[in-house]
Amino acid sequence: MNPDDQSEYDRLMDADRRTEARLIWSEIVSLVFVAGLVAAYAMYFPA
Amino acid sequence: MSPIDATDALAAIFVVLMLLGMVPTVASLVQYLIIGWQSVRNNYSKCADYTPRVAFVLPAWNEADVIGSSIDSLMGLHYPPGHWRIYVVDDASTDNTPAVMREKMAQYPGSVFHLRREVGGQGKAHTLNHGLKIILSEDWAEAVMIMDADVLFEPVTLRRMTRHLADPSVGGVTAYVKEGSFPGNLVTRFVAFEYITAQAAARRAQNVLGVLACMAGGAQLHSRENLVAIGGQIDTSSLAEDTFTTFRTQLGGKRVVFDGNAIVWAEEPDSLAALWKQRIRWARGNLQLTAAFRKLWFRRSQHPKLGGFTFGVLWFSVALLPVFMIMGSIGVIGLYYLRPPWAWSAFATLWSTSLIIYLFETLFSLLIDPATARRTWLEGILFPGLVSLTIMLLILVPPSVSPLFNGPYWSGQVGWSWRDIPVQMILAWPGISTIFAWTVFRIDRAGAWRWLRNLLLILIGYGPVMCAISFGAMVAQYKNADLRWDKTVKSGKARIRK
Repeated sequence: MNPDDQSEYDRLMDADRRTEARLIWSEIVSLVFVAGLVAAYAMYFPA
Repeated sequence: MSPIDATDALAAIFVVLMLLGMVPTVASLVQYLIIGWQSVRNNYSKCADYTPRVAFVLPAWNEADVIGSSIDSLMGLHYPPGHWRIYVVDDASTDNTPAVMREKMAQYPGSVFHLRREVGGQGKAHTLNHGLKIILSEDWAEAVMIMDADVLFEPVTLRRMTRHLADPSVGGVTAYVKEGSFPGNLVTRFVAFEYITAQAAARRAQNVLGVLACMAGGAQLHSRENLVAIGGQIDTSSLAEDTFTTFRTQLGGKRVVFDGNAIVWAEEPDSLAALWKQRIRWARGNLQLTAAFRKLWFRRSQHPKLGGFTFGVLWFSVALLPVFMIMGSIGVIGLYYLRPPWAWSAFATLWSTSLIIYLFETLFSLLIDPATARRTWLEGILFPGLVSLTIMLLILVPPSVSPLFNGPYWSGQVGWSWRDIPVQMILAWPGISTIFAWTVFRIDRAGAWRWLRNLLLILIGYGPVMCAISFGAMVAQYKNADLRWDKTVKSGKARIRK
């Protein structure tokens, strides 16, 4: 394995770890957004 | 039992049916909720820069339009020189495939091989087995990539997949197959969005659970050891050879991994008629697998993960999707006649829950794969169909002011009338939409105008089409229809998109 190959491998691993780490934030953003919509609806139309 | 007790018991059954109708929606939500764990619970910590010698096996039957591009994309891989070979198993093609192969073998000497079957037509699994037998008879290959003839690999995809095989507990790795038709149309964009949900999302969740339902047949990397352990052959008894291989790998004690960053591109059906043919094959294959592994389901003693409760619910919520939808509709309709106020509650619960989950899953899906989302966001929003979206919005109108639901029909004061029909259509829409979706498929197959097909698809939704296909597969299995390998015709429209 030459140094270029090794650096490409490390670059891929870093990029992919970042992508996977972003997932949890995407999930939180989605949940908070929907929870906000539900809360807003509940405020306008209380049961 | 008194009449009142009998009515109560029947009402309870309808409530249970209504709740069962929510199983697929809730199962899907559970899957989405655990995706985030993939950020901490993934296989990357066990990866290493491992570059085994890989034999690519491409089954080909009349693939002259696509096989050249696939070979070119594979020869452009960023991988140590001489560490991969391409074996095209030609299933007695009658088109220009042999000529294309002669050209490619001359262009890439020593890297591309043409394995010709003089008698073919037995399907993909038999074709693959012809190639696997030859590859495994030699010592060269340390890993084998089973793929489709039209699939295009991004240059770093193989590298991203082989790194997982550095972990000896991993037997197989699969990639994220993206829809890459160019130009695309409404159907291919729906498929592209569906693949975010069914692959990029669902398979990441299954990674977290430690069990995978299917390694995509378009990009399925096996260690040689694993392939030998499962018999060195692909199952030929069913239409879901990739899922069988996935199950056998896991039942053999190896793990399988989905790498959502390893991307390949494929041309998917661009009409409902072609989509129906492809998906009926997949759905029937899954039903065959369900029966073949009948002693596995919900039995952890058979396998701690495949036999687990969570995986069982996820599997059956897809395999029996139309059954759940019909049960839900029967439940609400039954309550409408038996306990009208309950029917309103059941209906509101069903659809408001669906609305919340739809909003969350659609938004999260678009964020999971922003590149695909940029061209499919509208199809993502329209996935359930305009009719379903309208019902969801109607639910937001409180019953006290709703023109539709604020009438005598929810109070149980009146008998049946013609005005019941639209109300019942709405109540039973999850089940009824399956029939409408089948009608849209028939209209498309009959050669209807493209605009009409698109309009109806937008109204009814892509989701109900999937449900109708599942139902069609059940009917075909029940009738024991011919197990033909109906190949999806590819024209070479796929591109690697940036």
